[in-house]
Amino acid sequence: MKCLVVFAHPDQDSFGAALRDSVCAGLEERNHDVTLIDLYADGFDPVMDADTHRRYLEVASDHPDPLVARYIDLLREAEALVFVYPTWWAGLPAILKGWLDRVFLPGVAFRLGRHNKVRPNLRQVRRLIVVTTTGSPRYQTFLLTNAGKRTIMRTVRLVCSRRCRTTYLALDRLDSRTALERTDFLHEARIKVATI
Amino acid sequence: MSSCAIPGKTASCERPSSALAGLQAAGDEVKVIDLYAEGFDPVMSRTEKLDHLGSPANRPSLAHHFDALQWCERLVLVYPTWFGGQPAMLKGWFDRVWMNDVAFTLPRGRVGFEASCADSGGSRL
Repeated sequence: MKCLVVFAHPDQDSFGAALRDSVCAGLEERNHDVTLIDLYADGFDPVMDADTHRRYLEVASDHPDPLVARYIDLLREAEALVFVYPTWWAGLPAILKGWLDRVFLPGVAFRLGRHNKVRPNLRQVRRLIVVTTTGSPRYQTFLLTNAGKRTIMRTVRLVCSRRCRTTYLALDRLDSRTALERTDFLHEARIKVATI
Repeated sequence: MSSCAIPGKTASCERPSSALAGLQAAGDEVKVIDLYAEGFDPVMSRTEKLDHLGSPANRPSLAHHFDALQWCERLVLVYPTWFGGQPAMLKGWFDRVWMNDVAFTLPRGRVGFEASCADSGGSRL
């Protein structure tokens, strides 16, 4: 399966970076075709500017930013989307939210049908996976309604294949985890993601 | 305080003006932060991430945001909902500005946080 892994963490020495490597290794072991997008390494600017916002409905066909144009091509090819990110303020880091804002455009991720109803345009995406970490305990992220999980598992899911399956893996209370617990989670992510 | 995250002067930009007019008419003191107009960078850098439990004094470029956040008694957020959530610009404002010793205080040696904004009464979130 063609897997697009989207990674959003500023520190290449972080546990998040280790998770990214574990996820990619797991997928490659099963001979999946893996493409990695590292948003921080690419220097991606998540801010949709006024000009793009004005041309929002047609901007996808001739995007002025070559990096976004490349992301659009990769997104159209993908059959599985894997997001690896730290949960900040119960949500996605701004750089990842901006990736959705700027790349999931009309004509790319969705089409507008009658009465401007959103129709899925990523029907080839059959798997959606989130691998994340939180500083808060699991119950607290739940009470804060976990906006990051919702954005991907519901909003992104809406534009994928109707049969798209989802997996959400999270290690909570990251700051107080032992080295063994962290290693266990790396292993769990590697195994679970690989069996897509 | 009103925080606005809308690119360009489109039709939707009339809304912050009317929210603003309403607050002023009610006699409230108002500070406006227009994230697009000031060219705010919503991306938390590696340096900031590594120092996320450090002092707000280490981020002098955000000082006016910290001051405004601790000054206000009412917070008004004006933004379009994109992809089921806040625009990256506004999400990044939370990521970078709502830091330790500004929006909350992390007790030493404890996990979890306590709200430090005036109205919270210090209760655990």
